[in-house]
Amino acid sequence: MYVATAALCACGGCHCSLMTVGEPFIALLADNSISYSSHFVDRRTIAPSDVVLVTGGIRNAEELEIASEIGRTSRKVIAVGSCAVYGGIPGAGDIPPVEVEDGSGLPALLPRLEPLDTAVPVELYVPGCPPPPNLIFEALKSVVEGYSSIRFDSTVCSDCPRRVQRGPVRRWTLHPGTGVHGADCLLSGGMMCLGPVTRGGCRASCPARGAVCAGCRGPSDAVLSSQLHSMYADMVKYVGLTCGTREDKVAREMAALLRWMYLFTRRDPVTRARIREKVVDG
Amino acid sequence: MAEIISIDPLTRIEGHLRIDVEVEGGRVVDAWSSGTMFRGIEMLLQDKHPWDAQQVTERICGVCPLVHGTASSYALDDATGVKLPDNARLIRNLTLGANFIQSHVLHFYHLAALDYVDPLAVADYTGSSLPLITLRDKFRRLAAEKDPYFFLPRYESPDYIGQPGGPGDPDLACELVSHYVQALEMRKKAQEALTIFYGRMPSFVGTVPGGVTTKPTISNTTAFKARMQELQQWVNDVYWQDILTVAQVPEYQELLRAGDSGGNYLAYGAFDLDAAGKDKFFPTGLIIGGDVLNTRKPGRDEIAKQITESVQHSWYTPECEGLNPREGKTEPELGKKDAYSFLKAPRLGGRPMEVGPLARQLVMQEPGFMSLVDRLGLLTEPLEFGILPRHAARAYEAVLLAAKLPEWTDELQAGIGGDIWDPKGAEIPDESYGKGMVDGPRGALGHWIHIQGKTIGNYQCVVPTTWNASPRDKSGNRGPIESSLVGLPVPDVDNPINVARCVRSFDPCIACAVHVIHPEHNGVKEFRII
Repeated sequence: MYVATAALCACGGCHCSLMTVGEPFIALLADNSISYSSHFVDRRTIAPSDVVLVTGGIRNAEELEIASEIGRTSRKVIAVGSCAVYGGIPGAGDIPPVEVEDGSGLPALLPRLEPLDTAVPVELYVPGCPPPPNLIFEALKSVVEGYSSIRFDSTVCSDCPRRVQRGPVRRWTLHPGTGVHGADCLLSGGMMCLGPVTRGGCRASCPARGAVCAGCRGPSDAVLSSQLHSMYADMVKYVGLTCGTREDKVAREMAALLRWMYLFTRRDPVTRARIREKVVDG
Repeated sequence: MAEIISIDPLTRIEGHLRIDVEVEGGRVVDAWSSGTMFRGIEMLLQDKHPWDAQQVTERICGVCPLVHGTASSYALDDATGVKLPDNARLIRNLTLGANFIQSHVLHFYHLAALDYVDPLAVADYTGSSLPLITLRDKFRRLAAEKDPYFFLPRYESPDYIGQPGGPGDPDLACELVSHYVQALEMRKKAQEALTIFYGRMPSFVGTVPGGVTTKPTISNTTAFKARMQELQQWVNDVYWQDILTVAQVPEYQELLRAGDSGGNYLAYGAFDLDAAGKDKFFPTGLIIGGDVLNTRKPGRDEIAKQITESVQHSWYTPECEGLNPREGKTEPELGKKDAYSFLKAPRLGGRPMEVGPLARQLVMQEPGFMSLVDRLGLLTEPLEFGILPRHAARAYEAVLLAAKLPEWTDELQAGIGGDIWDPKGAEIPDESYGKGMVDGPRGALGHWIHIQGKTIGNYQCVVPTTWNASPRDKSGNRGPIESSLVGLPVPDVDNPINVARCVRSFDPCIACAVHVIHPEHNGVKEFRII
């Protein structure tokens, strides 16, 4: 099989994460070949391929053209990283459209950053900023070897080693990691961790090291399950239940969280059912 | 007749970079470097909560998020008046050091080495190393099947190590290819070491305004040290030796001096050795006009005051011209006359400065490195340091850090139980300025934050590649990469391998959004590949 990687409006983090896979990736390439990949080899013209890992969203006319070209020449496309899946941080940085003068040679900026599947049908989604190496590799392997990847509905909390302390929280802070916290749940300590509503599979690497979950893997399946759910509403409910505080009071405190709840998914705040069906999970 | 060669985009770097060079009589006579790093990150940060800065700026670049996160933390520490506890300082040093090693190994083996080695030599391999046998069988099979993607497009050049009639022998090429595979695993170890304190990599979480989030324990410090000891051995025995081997290939002797950027070097310094950050393992300093034996040592504040950014040839409005980053502006103006890059042109006292490993090592003047450049005959007039010394400086840094990190781990172990966080980091002043200046693998990185009304009023980043790959400034001075290309030997305009070697030796890193110009030129050669 011919495997390729491409980067649209991306920072290179997903490629770096893929590179950390190391030997299993090399072993996969023993029987398969790289057809193009600007980061690993010198061929970067789009060529017919069986699987393409695409990172980054679509920000300008050129990236749109590359994405469509990939769609035309490839059998299966995997959207890697929150930028490709949801729009990611560049999606949060949308600027008013800028007119490009004719003759400057610059590709026109699109009105806003669009996720990958607005231009090409996507076979699998691997959200995360960046996704853990094992998940990218699992997605690639499942397509190359033709099996359905293992997935289950989990949240970051289900992987987290911290203990929930039921009881009211005295003071909320927006700080991402206030030094002393022992082994208790960061929410119980008053830190606004998005673990309860964020898709798991990352082994809770951030809260396990004492920093809040910023929600980089996007909403969990439970949040995506119906229009009645949202990351915000579910957070309010969860915190209200564990802290035994009235929901309207929690809702007021949590309003500050809206500023970064959709940092990675702002381009796509409405639920997207198809992502639910096709995401690779831990 | 002079001929313009355009390499667009240059591969095996991070992001989109276009290089145009004008070649006359087998040498480059002029050069333009056009970069695009426009994703509007600085603009996105305006009016946001100051604590968002560190999470967002890490996403500027997926290869060196750690340095951005660290610089951002230092900027916020500065703005909030944090006094960093010793343990936090050490953990930041350890993680930054591990990141240096992984980045340098990645750059040499996975990005740059293919410019010097012919991997096809492996097809005739006769030894017993398992990865090489796998590769050999793969190459042979692909050749037998006439695979369309097998023969990787690359510039023809008579001086790849291991090619028929080239320098070195096929065995040496095989050895270097096997190190390419080993380097993947070694890099992974450095990444693992980082995650011990920072949870994951890239886009880690463990450093926050005020300190770090993971307490040192016997188990995590020991796990870190074990990985470092393994790395130290490999860096000394393999990486450093490979660099010495390549630097001594007779065909490459010209590359020792070719690619000199003009003799101005700048290092912000990194790895604080005391709480105040006065004493650093990689010192702060600068070199002007190629006077490498006379390093100037102004303080960081003084350096920061002298920085201005010119936008004469960049796609930004004239209001952004000549500002210090503390007051800097980022307002795009596409279609601007004379502009050819999205990078601004930072200058120190009006001078373009090269930043990165070579700048740091020349400023540091560590005896081991200086004796190497002396041995290579580089300490005689004219004092020029080109393509290979940049690779050597990078490898020497890895050697220095691999030796130093276990010592710092011991120091951290001795301080188990101490503070990792200063509570002042959780208080946001109404109005404050902060700057975080730190040297990352690619060079001097500065973040400037202006907090107004408890939110971000202005956030400016001046990144290493902006220094190195900058376009011409208001006075018409070329950026360091542009200067380094002038005079470079290009015997065959269809295969400008030396141009690619020279640009890659800077380890440019350009996260990308919008593409760059295509000048309407007669005799333009477009290289879509390589």
